[in-house]
Amino acid sequence: MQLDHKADLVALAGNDKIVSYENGTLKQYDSMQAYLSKDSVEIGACKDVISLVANQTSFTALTSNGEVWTWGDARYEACLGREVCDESPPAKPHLVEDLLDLPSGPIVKISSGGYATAAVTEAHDLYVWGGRTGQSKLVEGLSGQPIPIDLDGRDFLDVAVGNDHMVALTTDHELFVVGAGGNGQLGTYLDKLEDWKEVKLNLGHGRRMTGIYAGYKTTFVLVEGPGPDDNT
Amino acid sequence: MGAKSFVIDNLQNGPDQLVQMCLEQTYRLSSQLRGFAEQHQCQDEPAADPAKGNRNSILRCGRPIVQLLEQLSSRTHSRSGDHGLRLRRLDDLIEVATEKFYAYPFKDVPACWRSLFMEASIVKFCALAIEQPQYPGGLEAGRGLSAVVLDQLVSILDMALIMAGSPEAEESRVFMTTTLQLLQQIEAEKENSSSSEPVSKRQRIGSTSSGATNQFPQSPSYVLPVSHPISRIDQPSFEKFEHYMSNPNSDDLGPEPLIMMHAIENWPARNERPWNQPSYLMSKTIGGRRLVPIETGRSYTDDGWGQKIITFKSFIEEYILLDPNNIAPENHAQAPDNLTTGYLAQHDLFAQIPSLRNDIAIPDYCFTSPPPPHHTSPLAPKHSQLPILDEPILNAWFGPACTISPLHTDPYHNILAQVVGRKYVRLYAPRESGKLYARGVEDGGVDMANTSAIDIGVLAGFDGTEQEQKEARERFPLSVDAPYVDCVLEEGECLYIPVGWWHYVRSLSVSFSVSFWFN
Repeated sequence: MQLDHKADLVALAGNDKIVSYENGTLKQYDSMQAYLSKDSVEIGACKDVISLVANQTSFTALTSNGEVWTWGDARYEACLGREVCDESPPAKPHLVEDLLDLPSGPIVKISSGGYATAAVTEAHDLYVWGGRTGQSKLVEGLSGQPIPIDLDGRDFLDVAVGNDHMVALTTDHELFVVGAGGNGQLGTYLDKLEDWKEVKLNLGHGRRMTGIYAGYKTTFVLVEGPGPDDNT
Repeated sequence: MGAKSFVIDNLQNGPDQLVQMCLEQTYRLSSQLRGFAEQHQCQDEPAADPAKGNRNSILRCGRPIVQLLEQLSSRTHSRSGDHGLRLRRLDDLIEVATEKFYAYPFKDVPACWRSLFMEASIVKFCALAIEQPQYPGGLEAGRGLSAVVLDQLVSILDMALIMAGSPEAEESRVFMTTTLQLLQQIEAEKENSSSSEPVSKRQRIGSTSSGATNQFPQSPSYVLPVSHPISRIDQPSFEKFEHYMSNPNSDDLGPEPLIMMHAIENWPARNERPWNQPSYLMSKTIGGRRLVPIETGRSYTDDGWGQKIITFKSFIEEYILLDPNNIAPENHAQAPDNLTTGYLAQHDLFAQIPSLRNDIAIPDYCFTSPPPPHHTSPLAPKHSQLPILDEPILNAWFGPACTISPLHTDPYHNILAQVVGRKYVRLYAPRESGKLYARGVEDGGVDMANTSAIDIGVLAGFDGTEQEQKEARERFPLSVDAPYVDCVLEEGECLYIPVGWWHYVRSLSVSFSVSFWFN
């Protein structure tokens, strides 16, 4: 891929659409080819975007003051987590009002994959929304309205959404997983998990998980602590 | 790895031939993909060059996917590595392609993902066929392929045909056609070899519901009143029909609907290859194993409407023979709960099962030069822009009594041929469009401008309570006095529906129709 784009943030959706955030504006490209030939459409100005993610058909942007903006394919309205009407069309970035003024503060982290998106608040609550008709729900209650995830009151540090699995990291550095596991992405040998389950990884003494990332059917964890050669 | 090493000198039976064909197919595919990969070895994102070679589009899936498919195909051919893992990886590839069918609007799915779905399905088919334990010479019931394996093999190819369409690559197209023919032969041989069994064991279809014979259920009592009958004419000549279309009674109206009698008398489907016999249709579908896409629910404008892909046999058994309208009162207790209507609607069954295509013929009327869309149709500008079709568009419409196509218009002139059963059809001229409450672009971005918001069944008093009928008249006041024509299209008749005419279609019995769109 050419590197002459000066984009601050870029996200690629499953339908080949690409959005970049450059100098305070969001530019959308219809395909990889359009991106390489810089054939873009400006879809809106959005101040201080600090994170930009995409799933199969929708985009989600997070601003520095914790606002979440979504847009994408009208056929999968649930992925937008907000009302769709003439004033807030599906294809233009629009604020997810349900995620404003939450009891646990503004959103600080977003992640998206498949047909779901997740967000973590400043005081460690986890919200998810999305879903596609005909597909089994990734988590119970998943819909077009963001819902909080409650795992016995645990606080969340990080979240990552893959194509059909989701992982969440608690402030106590426990890893919880849910969804499809047929390619090993849950870190267990289970083919599928309908409900959240904790997975204990053998990290070695004194090491702990501090970040997570999900790819298409993969999961990565960031581990902090003594290195593998360090025998202390 | 030479393909030659697997040549079986004397191909005595179908299953041997099948294995041979699969070995050749996987060898050919892996060589081609390897060739492409070498040509493009410097590029991770393959160049867009669809003109070169006819398998090229699959390269646009990207190098990792092409390489994986190449390896899987080559290992299927050489029978090396773990068979189970190979099947799982092939499923992963099919899944990647399937995801793209959802991510894009159906018409925009890039050709490469259709190709991937097709080619990965063919390799999976080959892997299963090659790894099947073979019984040379054939055990009595087995003949090398068990019924379960046959189910699985047919389903893989049909899913690919329904989801991805006809294969892009010529070799794959030939492979599909010949393989399905071979499976049909294998099935026919199995049927023959088991024909010494008692009839009751073989004729499962005939014995499923209420001990019926080899016929569809009859619903003689079900009639709807026809109030503004469409004229009937006995098989008009090509010239006469063309003259009829071009010289309408009223220039403000344009050509009007017309019923043509005895126009399909010579179709094999109405004679020696009888579509009104379930057993004949089963024999043409590899013992009912072929898959068909069906619509479930009352009408595509209703809530709870859905689509699914099921075997032809299940469709016949669960929706045609067990349809609630067709169950005799004494058998009501046996009927499963929550019966919904199932309708094999608007599907090009004849591209999928070419042998059924030979049972019918395109009416000559479709090769006339019809007038352009009438100026009174609000959709005329849109319809006029459609390119002239090289061949008429064929669709099959097969279902139980009481399937409903809500009031809508089509972008082409239509000859609707009624092969089996009867249908009520009501039509409104294009100039009445303003009274018919066309829907617009709806939630989810679906354009429903060709469909009316009126439920004609309720408006006409066929369905619903008196209160609901009253509400329909109040909600759609203009439609109450809109002039229309209607008919009960009888078995063996054809209905000409001019482009832009609104039509509501409702089956009065088990019904099998074929529509021919032309312009």
